Amino acid sequence: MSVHTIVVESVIPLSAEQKKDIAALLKKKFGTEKFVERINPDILGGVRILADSTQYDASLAGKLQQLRNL
Amino acid sequence: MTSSFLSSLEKQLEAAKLEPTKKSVGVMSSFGDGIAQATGLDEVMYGELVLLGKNTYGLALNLKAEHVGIVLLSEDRGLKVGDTVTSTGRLLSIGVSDEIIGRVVDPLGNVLDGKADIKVKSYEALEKIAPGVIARKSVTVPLQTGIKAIDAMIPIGRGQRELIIGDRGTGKSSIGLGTILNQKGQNVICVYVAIGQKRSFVAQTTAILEKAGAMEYSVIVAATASDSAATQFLAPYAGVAIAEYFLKQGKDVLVIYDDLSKHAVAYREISLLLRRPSGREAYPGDVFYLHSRLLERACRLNEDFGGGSITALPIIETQASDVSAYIPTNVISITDGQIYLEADLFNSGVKPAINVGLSVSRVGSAAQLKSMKQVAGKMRLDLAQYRELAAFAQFSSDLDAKTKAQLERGARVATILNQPWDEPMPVEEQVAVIYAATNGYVDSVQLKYVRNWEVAALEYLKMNHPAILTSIRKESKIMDDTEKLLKEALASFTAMHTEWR
Repeated sequence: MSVHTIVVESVIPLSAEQKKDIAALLKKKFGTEKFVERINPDILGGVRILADSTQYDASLAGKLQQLRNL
Repeated sequence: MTSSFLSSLEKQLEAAKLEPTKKSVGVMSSFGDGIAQATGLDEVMYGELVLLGKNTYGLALNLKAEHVGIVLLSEDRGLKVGDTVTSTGRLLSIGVSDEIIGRVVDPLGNVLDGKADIKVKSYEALEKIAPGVIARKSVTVPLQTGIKAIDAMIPIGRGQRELIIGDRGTGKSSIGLGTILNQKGQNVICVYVAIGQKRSFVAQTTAILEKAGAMEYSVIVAATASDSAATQFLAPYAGVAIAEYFLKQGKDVLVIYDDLSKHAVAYREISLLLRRPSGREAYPGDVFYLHSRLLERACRLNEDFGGGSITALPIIETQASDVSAYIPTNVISITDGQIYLEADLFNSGVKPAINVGLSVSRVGSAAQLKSMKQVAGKMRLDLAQYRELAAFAQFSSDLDAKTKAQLERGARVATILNQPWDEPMPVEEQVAVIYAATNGYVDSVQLKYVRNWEVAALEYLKMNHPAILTSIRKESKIMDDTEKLLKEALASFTAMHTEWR
């Protein structure tokens, strides 16, 4: 599976260690380590990764939404 | 109290599985006229429900390499270009339970009658492939419309698809509604789908059905003229989805689509806005499939599959009696026959204004009661002869006695077939009246009194000879001794009433 763009969203800038962890994860899943960082306060916490049009949501906002749908 | 509430809340929260999710998302790139285009959404399915922005839902109908065309289903206020579009992984469905009987709902299952929400028991998919060949069985049980002209000459069976076609104001809806009224106590659930009708008409229809006690076994699905084209497009599929819920329970269901012309127009609007290529009369190429896949869902299942049935009565409105227009010819070819209503007949006082010559039922005669068959054959002949002679007799004043008698007979039979739409008649009474007319018991009655005679004769039979009507209803055909009794009763009744001669 080849992915063109990967965007990683977080509320505060990621630390060097976090970046390394994410890059390793992306390498395993998509075969690439390159990603764009984006600061997005709307997600409240955690990270949200957008690989082309597929969204992997591990953010606080996403969890709250899941609670709302219960 | 408070602590127990808190602990139950805690329990719920503990039970909640909050895990990272994976979903297909996109960005809305343009939007207008109830249509949105979105980029991304790589994994969206055809006909999938998608969420636009925070709380607007849409239906993904055009899947292209560079974008997805989405038809909006709810209010589009607050949407802006750049909003996120999220796939839900759900195909469009309607929430149904037994509670839906007696209610007025929109095609998405929202209640429109101001009463409590419906407690959903199961979700029925709006788009579904019709039952296959193995599951089906031929039509053998009649669906009595209560309308003499139809039950006698264009019989409808349970599981049949019979088109009602005619110009505006010729009584198309009345036939559908009259049929619903007649299903009281017949173990048939009725679904009336109003597509692009006036809201006043839907309100009036609901009131009529309620007053007649018909809402106890009916559901109304309404997508009125002021609703979006998408809602109108979905309405008939929602109607048949509700019908399928009851079909699964092995019940007989009657669905009336009023009307499919407006449905085709709504679909044309959507297709043009989605920039699909247009064909004849600007309808898209798949407008035939639009109606065929809907009407194919009418069926009679065999016992292994529950034995229920869905009877469909689609209505088509013609312009200036043009049945060779695109949509009418399509639907005529899909259905198992049509009831053709004519403005000329309507205006000359024939109600229901059915053109018997052009109306047919291709499968219903297998389901017709034997007793009705016994009397209807003769009536058809009487009427055909009458029409032929009536056209001929216009040119000559002196006719021989036999011709005159045939004309008199025909005129009376034709009058007997007139009937107010909201007074459906039980089949045994229909048989008795038609028997009387075709066997000459009404010949001596003056034409203008025929209706009075009919009402009084039925009263007389019900009061003094209930056994005759019971026998016709119970036995599949008119037994010899019943016929003898009926003859005697009619003769003595006619002898009593000399004032109408």
